[in-house]
Amino acid sequence: MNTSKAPNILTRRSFLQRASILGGAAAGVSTIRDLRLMNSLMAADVPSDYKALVCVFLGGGNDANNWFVPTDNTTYNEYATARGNLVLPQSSLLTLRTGPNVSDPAYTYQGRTYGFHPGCADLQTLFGEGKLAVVQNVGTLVRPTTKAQYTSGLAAYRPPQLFSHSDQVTQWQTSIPDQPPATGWGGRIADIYNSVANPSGQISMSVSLNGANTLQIGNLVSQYHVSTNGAVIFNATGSGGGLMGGTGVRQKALQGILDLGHANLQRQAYASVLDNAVFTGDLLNNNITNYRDPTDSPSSYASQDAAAPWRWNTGLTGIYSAAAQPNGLGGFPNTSLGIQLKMIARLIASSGPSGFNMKRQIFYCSLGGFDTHTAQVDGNGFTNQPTNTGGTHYGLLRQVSQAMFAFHRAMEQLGLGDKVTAFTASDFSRTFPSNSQGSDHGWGSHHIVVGGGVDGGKVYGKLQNFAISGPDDTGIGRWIPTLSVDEHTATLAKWYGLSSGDISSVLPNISRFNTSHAGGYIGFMKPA
Amino acid sequence: MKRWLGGLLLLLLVTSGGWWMLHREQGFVRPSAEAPPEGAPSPVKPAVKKAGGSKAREEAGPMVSPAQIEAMAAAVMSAVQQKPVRIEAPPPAPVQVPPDYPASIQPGPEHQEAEEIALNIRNFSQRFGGNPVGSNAEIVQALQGGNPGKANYMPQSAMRLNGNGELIDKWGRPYFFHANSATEMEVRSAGPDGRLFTPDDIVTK
Repeated sequence: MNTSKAPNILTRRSFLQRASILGGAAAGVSTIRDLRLMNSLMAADVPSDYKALVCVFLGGGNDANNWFVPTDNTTYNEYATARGNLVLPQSSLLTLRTGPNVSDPAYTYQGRTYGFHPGCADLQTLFGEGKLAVVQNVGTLVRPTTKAQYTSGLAAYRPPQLFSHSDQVTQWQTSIPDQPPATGWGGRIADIYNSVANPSGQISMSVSLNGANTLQIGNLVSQYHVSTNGAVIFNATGSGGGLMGGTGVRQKALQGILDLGHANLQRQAYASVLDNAVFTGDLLNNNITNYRDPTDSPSSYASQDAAAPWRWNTGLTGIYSAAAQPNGLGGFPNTSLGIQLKMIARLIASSGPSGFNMKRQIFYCSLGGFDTHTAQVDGNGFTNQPTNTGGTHYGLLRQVSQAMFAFHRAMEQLGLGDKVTAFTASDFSRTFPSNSQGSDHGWGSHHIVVGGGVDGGKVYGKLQNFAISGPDDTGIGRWIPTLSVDEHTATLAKWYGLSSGDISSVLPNISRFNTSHAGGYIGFMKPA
Repeated sequence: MKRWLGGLLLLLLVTSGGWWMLHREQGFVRPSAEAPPEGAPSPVKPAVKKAGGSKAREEAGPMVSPAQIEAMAAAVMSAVQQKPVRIEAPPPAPVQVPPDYPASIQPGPEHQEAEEIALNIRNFSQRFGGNPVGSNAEIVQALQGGNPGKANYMPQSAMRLNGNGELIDKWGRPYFFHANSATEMEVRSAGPDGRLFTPDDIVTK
């Protein structure tokens, strides 16, 4: 019996042929991207100065609706109406001013005045000094998206798995939401820049204080993880003088083994990696020894020369005991984020030619706990008190405010205030209406950028319309971002020294966002 | 430099090879034992029998006749308009709790209901490569057939919707869907006190 087969049905052979072709094509696309990165690498200019980017990731999704709030009566009333029992009293908000003094007039942008959350007095100070910018309603976008386009449900306008923690963290950090994650934008910048900027660098260009992250995954540069006490090194000294007597005997024995040549290539490679890790860890810990603050060793700190460059005076007072704060000097807050940023400050202080010899670095640190479905305001016994200035969110934002303030002061004292830029990122913001005790997962969010290189004391972007189910809302107070992570990152990358071509290589979707801002740059950084 | 050039040449070779193979597949009809005998009816005519210029294409005639297009469109419309197929997971095994535990913590039907919702979401995720996305109402819409397969994953036993199209628990409060990742969704009922994130909440994943 003859069987006929429609020609559009694939035979096994043609299926295998097509699969191999598609596989080849996919590899080709990836290779083309890598080649573009290589081209960018060859074209990149050698930087003459030091610059660092510091990502402060607010894990869980920070409720930026209460971080940065309009204070003029009209807009505040719109805010208060929709926020329900999460509303912050108007009088508790810390007004953003055009200067550092309370007598300076309130800053006005797009006809509105603004205030920070009551836990952020130090950020208010930085804004007044012109060292902090607020970027409104930033988020992961595949392309510029209107409510009609979002409602259409087309994948072309919806990043996959919106509102899911892990997916949105990943998409923020890859800035390619419409493709499977492979590398982070920080890692791609490092791939382009490391060999040019840090030809004799002693540590990785990408350093994380909070373990593995997507942001710093690159093809060429590996992220280096450091604890808040420094590099975790191989402790081979043993107790009581070591296994064979004498401090360091075991370490010396290990070093001897590592120095042996190995005919087996895998053993040799392992020995090289371990040898390199031991060397880098020791180098790092030796270099940061001289950079401390009162929390590290109060007694020795007090006895040091007040003019020593490592003697941070962040101006933060009232957070240490008197013994730990000689002469009224303040250091870093002894909080989770505070000690991470302190270690980053110590690493940056050691980045010069006599230390790590680095010209470009990217740091990552993180603070969790922002998934405030409950106890967002007023603490555990949520009772909708009239002040609404307590609760989980208050503690978290206060921590962010103090730590970022101390970090910037430390940079200024190193003479690197305008060379180091810290910025926040988060999974997403949160729903505008209350869920009765807190808020749920949102989308577009406000963020801050801190540093002397920031065109600060200003607000950027567009504040969303607060109407629930309004033109900027997906339906339950989840704002459709008006600025993309791509535009935010491109602005930082341009200041960092990347050319337009480099930026296109790092952010392949950036050309989709050129409509509202020339070249995709938002403008919150001063010219490089 | 040499390695770079070598890589570029290899890439060009792979790309041009792929291009040639694709076009060869479209351009030739290989003699095959599976090909229909001459004169036998064929369900769909090959659009182009020979590679070549416009003359060859003209000889082959149109790809599909207007009548065929109409028939195909009717079939597609019928498939689109058909009711979603109900795909309901079998009820999960009852939660085992030692009988000597206090009655207050013995699982009730509300626990079973939450388990069923979670199970159906997992099934949805396995089929479509990720959880349904959005608010309670959007998730309900996706589970009720608003998905690429037009399949209904909403368990019959939990079919209580409020006026906003939200799935509600036995106490009338909307379920809370906490998306931890593309494949992990926490389903939470506020429990008897009607307040989320209190000890009497019923939570499943």
